[in-house]
Amino acid sequence: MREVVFWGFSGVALAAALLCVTRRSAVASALWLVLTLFSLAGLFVLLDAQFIAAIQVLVYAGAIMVLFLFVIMLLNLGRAGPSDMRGWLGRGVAALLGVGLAVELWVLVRIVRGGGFAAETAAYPLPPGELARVQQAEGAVGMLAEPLFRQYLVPFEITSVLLLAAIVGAVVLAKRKI
Amino acid sequence: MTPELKGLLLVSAIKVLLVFVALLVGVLVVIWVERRGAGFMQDRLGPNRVGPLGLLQNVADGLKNLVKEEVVPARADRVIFYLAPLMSFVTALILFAVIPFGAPLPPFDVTLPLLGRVVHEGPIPLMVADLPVGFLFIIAISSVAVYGITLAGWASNSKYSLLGGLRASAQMISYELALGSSLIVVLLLAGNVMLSEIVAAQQRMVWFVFAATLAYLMLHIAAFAETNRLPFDLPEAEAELVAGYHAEYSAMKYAMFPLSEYVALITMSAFITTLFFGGWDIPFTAWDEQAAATWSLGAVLRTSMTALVFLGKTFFFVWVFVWVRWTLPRFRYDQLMFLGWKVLLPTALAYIVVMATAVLVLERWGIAQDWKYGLILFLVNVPLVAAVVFGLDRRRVLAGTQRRVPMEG
Amino acid sequence: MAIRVKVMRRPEREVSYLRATLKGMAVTFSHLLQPKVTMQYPEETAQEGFWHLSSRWRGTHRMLTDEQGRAKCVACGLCPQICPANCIKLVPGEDEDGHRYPLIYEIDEFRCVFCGYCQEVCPEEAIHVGVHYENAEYQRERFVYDLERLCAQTHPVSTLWDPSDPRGE
Repeated sequence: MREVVFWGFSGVALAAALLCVTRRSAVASALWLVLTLFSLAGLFVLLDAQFIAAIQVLVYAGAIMVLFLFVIMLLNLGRAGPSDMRGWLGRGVAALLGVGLAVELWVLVRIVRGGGFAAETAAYPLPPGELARVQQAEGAVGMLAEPLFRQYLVPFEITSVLLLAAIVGAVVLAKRKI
Repeated sequence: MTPELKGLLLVSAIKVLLVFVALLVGVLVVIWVERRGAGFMQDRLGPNRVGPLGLLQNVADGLKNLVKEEVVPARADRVIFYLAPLMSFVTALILFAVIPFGAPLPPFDVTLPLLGRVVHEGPIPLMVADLPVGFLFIIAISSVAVYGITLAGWASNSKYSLLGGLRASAQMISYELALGSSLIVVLLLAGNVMLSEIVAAQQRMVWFVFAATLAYLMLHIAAFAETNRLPFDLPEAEAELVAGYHAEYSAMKYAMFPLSEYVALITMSAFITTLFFGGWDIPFTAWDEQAAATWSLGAVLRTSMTALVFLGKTFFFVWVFVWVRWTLPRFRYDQLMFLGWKVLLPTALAYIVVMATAVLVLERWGIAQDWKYGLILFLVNVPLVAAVVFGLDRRRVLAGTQRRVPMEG
Repeated sequence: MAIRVKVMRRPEREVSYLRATLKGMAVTFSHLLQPKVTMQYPEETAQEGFWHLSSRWRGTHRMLTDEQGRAKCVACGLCPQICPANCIKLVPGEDEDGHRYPLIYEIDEFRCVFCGYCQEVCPEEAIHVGVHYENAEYQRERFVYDLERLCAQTHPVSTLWDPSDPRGE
């Protein structure tokens, strides 16, 4: 049962992602991306990470993609323009990036499979039902909040500083006079 | 199939059916209340011809919409044009899934004809799905609801619709921040996002409207914006945008938009009830809180009473929505953005800090989460609310046309 | 002297929005309980009771008759002459006694603008505009009222506007 649902969601995610990069209309692309994000949320639920799934829908599908659509509508990108991948140089760069991504993915898969480059970094599977048990005890939010704000506080804060820099940059770009 | 699985499926199917039918009937009643209420507030009678008291007027309108001609504007994006009403209708409908609407029923173990032995272990919660993510599900799905409106505006190939859609997306994103921030306070108090836990926490303490008054006020304001109701119905502002995002829609595709608006209205009212007014809790009594272990008349009575109380509370908020709609004029767009970003959001952030401090201090003092806990929080809230209301009232928050200097002459 | 324009003095300070909101909600709630002004039309009509038509109302025409039931009209031709919409068709006839009477008298109520000049100009007080508003028909042709139909009307006739009594008192 779980496998069927998993393959269903992954298939939809992959197909929607493919459609997202091949559609000519920007709005259609954005909508397919929304579908991809929804399928990913479904996969998170399968992993007993309901909180991540909800946040995925809330932040990515609900807020960021709406902003994307907003910008697409404002710029009136309804009809397709010429592709960015022009000439041999563009195509070459694109191909290089694609290959780089594929290699990265391959490395990650190797690490997760456990036969990886360093045994101690290999991810290990939780016993089945473990996440659900913790979630029952601490609530969906508490389960994530504890490690996030104790163990991983520094990475969390660094990420927020990064976002802050992005916001300041956006304000500087948008406003001539401050 | 095991008896447990059969029991789960049976119970779920019944609950889904119940909620679905109740919502659709509720929509008919709410539209009737809105139209008759509007009439009465304007010293007229409103629709009173079809059926007793005009109750069947909406059925007649629904029939009319079914047989009317569907018009698709030229050069509209047909697929998205057809998809958009569905998007807003479906998202509005599934929102209600996580809202508990009554006290849990006792477990059962019976043998039914055709189905065989059917077992449900543990009490049956009266909600479609008691998700561990609780109200996060509601804000997640309601943030997706904006797609329906935005895409309807875009796909119509009309400037008024497009403007309505743009307004809707900007408005809903802005007010989601205030909505989410006020919910964080509820999370602080209840310690969980599950709505059943929140109701239980309110039964232990006091209703959160007393323990987190400011959060309630902000949530209610944001709820007006999220449901696109007056005074924040700028996406369809008929004076400026004809009808905004649904200007080009006709017949049943048009009807989907008001339908989803009213479903969202009911859900928002139920949501406010659950978060701040104790959900299905009957105030001043405790007999409704003990879970029954076996089926008895008392257990059934308890559940139906709590469900009725829940219905009454929800209906009260529906009525407040209607009442406000026929009282307040529409905001200007800059006022809307000002209120959302410069008033509600900073207030909500400051309020989170204050409430988190209060909760932390109370925890340090080792005060149990009972009614005394709630009372202390209420005493914290009173000056805060007074300060915010005074600030809104006396400071130049909503600059209207009054600020123009009158011409001498 | 220039036309006097009344300038509204708006308050310089900001007006409280919350207080205004609550006040407004109180107003709408009080109207909720007030008596309603709706007329339940097919059951209630504007002929009697709370709603009534003005006696100066100018509706569809009526031709008054004498004691023998003949139209009072003497076919003088003044009403088609004065009619601004040109909606009255009159063919005069004369009997052996020398009395003039209308052979054909038709009013096209679709063309009529209900100015009431025909009533005003009529020397015999024969043609009148009536205090009446329920005129629905199934065929367009039915809106050309002939003499027989005009005589058969029973609704009250208009008093028109009296210059010596402009307020109708």
